[in-house]
Amino acid sequence: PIYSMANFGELVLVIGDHHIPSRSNVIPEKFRRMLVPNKMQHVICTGNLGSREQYDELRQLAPNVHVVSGDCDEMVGGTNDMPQMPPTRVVQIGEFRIGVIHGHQVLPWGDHMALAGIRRKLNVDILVSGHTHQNEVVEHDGCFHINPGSVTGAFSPTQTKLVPSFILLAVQGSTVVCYVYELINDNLEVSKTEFTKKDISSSLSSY
Amino acid sequence: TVNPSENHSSASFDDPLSTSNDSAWSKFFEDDELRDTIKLDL
Repeated sequence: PIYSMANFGELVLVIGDHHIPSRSNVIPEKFRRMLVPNKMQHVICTGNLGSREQYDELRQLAPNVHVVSGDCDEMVGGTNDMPQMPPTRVVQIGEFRIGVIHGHQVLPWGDHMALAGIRRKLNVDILVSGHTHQNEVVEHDGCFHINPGSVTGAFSPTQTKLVPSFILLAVQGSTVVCYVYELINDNLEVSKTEFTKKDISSSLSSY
Repeated sequence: TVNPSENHSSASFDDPLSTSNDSAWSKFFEDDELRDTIKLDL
């Protein structure tokens, strides 16, 4: 039992695009202090971890780890002892079906109409994707598209402003609270959005 | 469209990953080595 976390419900870390060691050396220290074992019940990872060590670290954080393959994972496949990951996953947490895809397959990258097509195909309430290195929490047709960004703020050819970020979901039945953690000029910024599955558009609220 | 880019200080709400107000009990439950040491002492 996770006594200190009990009132938040099931905690789901949403993280990805580490690119360690190819584009970054480590996860920022301020993030590492928060990402410790026995807090989260699930980890959802959008891929492009970069090395087997990063995968093993995720497995230390939570009993349930759901990783998809990124474009760079495919390029290094077999050379860094990374287990092969599927391109998409669907996870049921609370009353939410959550789909996961890296995002390089979705053209144009990060486009919400294109993401909605994947979301409908997977028949999920929440679609998690990465690849753009830009975090987002967006309502679309009464469902949600979530992108944790890059936890290391790794280089991306499409971004001029690189901000390390990840997301935490606190799921309680049909309600989910979404926390976005960003390091802006090495200062931790946290934002929070809450939504429910039933009557999702009218119950949406930001704090 | 909702985008929580309007950042707010986590001081205005409970943050599940906050490291600033960890209680002794939460440290106890998160620290396997400490927990095992106390068990041995008992």
